[in-house]
Amino acid sequence: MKQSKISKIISVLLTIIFIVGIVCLIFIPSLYNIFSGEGVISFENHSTIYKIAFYTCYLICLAIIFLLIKLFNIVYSGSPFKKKIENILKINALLFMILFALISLKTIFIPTLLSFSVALTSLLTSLSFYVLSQVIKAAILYKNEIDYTV
Amino acid sequence: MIIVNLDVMMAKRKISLNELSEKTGITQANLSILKNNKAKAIRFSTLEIICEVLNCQPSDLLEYRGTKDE
Repeated sequence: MKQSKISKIISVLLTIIFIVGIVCLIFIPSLYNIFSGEGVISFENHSTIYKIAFYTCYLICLAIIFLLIKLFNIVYSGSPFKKKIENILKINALLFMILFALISLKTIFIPTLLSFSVALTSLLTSLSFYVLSQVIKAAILYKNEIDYTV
Repeated sequence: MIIVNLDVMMAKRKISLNELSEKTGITQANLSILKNNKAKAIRFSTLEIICEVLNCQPSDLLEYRGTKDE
């Protein structure tokens, strides 16, 4: 099967984002204070639960990027109709659902329009990934049927 | 389930997989799928050419076995 150049480019871009993300993990408090803007509580003054939730969300995002790198590498290597892709999509759907739960909790206690929109986007992305995993699952079954038709 | 008795018929007609592949034009890989009962479906054209070469009926190649026998 012809190798997809776009998937390779996306994979490289995601790898760069992933590396930058890991490096930025050390500077989260200072980066938070720089990008949060004026009138927002600094990272150090937030509660421990908030900090734990923030770091959890950050790590979940890194995990999602890591899985996406794996996914695009599989797509680049050949056929996308593999059980591995289905599993990656399912795990990504689960991670987005956890992200949605965490951001929703944050929105309940500290309601902002941005948090609400991010929570909603996470939910929709999670559902999209789940639907896609089911589509891939059906496609794998269909492909097996065709491959084993003599 | 449906069992393909291709190996039985091949033994009866004393024909090898390679020879059958040459005579039918079906690849050895596909014949192996049939022989090892891994096939999900079989085309009428495939069945026809195998029956023609082996000089047999489709019923000689295909057999139904109930799930209890598995």
